[in-house]
Amino acid sequence: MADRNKTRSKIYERLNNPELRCKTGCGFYGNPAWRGYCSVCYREVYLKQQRARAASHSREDALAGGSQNLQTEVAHEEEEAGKLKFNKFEEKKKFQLESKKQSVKKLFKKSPGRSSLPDGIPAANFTLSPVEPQKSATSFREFLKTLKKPAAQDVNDKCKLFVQRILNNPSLKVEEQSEMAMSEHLQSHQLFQNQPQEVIDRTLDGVEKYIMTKLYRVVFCPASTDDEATDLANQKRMRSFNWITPQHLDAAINPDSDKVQQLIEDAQQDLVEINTKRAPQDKLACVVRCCKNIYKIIHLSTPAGGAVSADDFLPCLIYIVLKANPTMLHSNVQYISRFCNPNKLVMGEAGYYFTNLCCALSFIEKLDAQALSMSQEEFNRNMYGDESDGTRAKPNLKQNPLSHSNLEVLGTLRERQVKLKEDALVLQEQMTEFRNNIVKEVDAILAGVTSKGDKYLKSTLTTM
Amino acid sequence: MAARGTAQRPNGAVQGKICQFKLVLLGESAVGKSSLVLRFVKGQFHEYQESTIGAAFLTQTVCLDDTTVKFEIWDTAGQERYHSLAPMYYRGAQAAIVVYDITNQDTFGRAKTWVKELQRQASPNIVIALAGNKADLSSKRMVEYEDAQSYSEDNGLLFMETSAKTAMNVNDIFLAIAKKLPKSDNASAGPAVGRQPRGVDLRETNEPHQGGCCK
Repeated sequence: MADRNKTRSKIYERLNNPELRCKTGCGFYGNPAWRGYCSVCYREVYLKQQRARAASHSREDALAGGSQNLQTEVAHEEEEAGKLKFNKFEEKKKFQLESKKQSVKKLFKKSPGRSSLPDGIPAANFTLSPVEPQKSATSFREFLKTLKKPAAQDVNDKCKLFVQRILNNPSLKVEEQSEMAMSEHLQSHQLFQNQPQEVIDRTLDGVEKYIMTKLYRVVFCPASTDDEATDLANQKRMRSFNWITPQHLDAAINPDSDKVQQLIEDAQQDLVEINTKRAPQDKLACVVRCCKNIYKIIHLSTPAGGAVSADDFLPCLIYIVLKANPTMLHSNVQYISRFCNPNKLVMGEAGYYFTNLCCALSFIEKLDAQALSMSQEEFNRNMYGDESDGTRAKPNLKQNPLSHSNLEVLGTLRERQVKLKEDALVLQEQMTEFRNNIVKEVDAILAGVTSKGDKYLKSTLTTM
Repeated sequence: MAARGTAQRPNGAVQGKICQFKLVLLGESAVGKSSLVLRFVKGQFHEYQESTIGAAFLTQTVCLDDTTVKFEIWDTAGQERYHSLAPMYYRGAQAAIVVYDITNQDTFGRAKTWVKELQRQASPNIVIALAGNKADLSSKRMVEYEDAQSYSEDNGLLFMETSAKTAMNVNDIFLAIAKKLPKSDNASAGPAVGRQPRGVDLRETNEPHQGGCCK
């Protein structure tokens, strides 16, 4: 009893400790998790604090989030600019450059070539090696380097700003995004008005690559479109066309030659690779590579050789697309046509091949019996007929020796499987019989030796 | 649209300007579309050089007085089954050559449908030329010169009978197209000239209000 009283008094002591009460003195107990307040008081204090914080941050928020009405806020921002820059741009170097930028920009616009720039930027940086597919990786790296130089600061800032704007407006429709991307192209043009065309092109390429790589996650196959559904539907469709041969499409492909087979695989690989690249021009480069391989395929397949015309080229491309069945082809095509430099898509070699790819895709999407110049029944048979349905499949077999032989192989395989199963059952029976026999034998032996065994057991137990 | 030439200096003279044009080739398969182009671009017929495996896309430059006209020639598949894809090719083309085979009446009929389609669907100021190819096979002629000539006059087409084999009229038809194409600034100048940026104001970029570039 005494013990219990002691502990009780201890508890009372603790409960009466004023430090446990709410800080505001409302009489209720506080809680360290609520910073010593009781729940009611803590809520009041918390709300008050939040309001105060919101008020002090509202300006900053307006700056960060108000990208839509940028121009109206420019004046207001200029007041804050110095402070903000210091907070947000951690690189001191950049901050210092801001002041120089205006003058640099002026020079930039006036000077016909960049060699005369004051910061000693070698002109070689902008007159790089010609942009060939193989060199594009290195030249892009060079471009990024150049982007860091003071003279390119303006472009650099613009790119970053643009990327930021898109990322801050996730609700924008794809069409609007592509619209913005297009205007970005044009805007860069104006800045470089006095530069030779070649330099503009190269810079544009770099800008495009930089921006699109940054934005890829957001703008590729966006949820606001039905790209993904179309992709899946297309993929399923292409899989169901696996019976189409080059002959169906008038494609001059000689599948017997090993060299041709190798090239077909290469071309398919190129198509599949489209999905692994990020920048539109890199994706285009994959398309061009694939098409060059197709030229070689046709050239090797036609006995007379000679130059390859579109009459042969397009069917072969369609066949390769069907065979490769590249993942997300529709999304990729949409992405390129939305965000690639429009000049490249309507004109130029890459534009031609891209148009061909679009044609191939659209042909496959609409592919029907008429397009393959066969009857509807025959088409349906190929599409939906399966080997178990003998009545429908038989006429088909005559035309397709490969599937015929395949069916034969399947038939023998099935027979062998049935036999294997029977044999397995027999084996199982034998095994159970064997087991039973063994059990019987062991039992018999045990019964015969019980008396001896007992004696033995007893002797061993006593010795222990 | 969107043809690209050299960037023009605002104060520079217009002399020596380059105009780039997209030209599509239409016509049934085996009328000799690609032979015609190969003859024009490489000067060859039925010859093969390693560099000319692909004849589906070729470029050739023609000089006209003080301008250089660069043709970008897009071949199309002529088979009937690919007919519906043609609009994708002639989108944005400034010129088209519709080719038929003078020894085959059907190809002339197809050529007429191509012309009709181009006039209806292609860009309104497209220059269309009709080429009756295989003129060297006049003994097997099935399409009369006068028929094609009067049809072309009625429809405002350039018309020539050509032979890729003998090179007859091949360069001439391309030259005639080059002469007929508009070479004013708005058709041929680079995109840098005469276009205003839409939506993005240059001033904005002077204030890096977004910050956060180091994220």
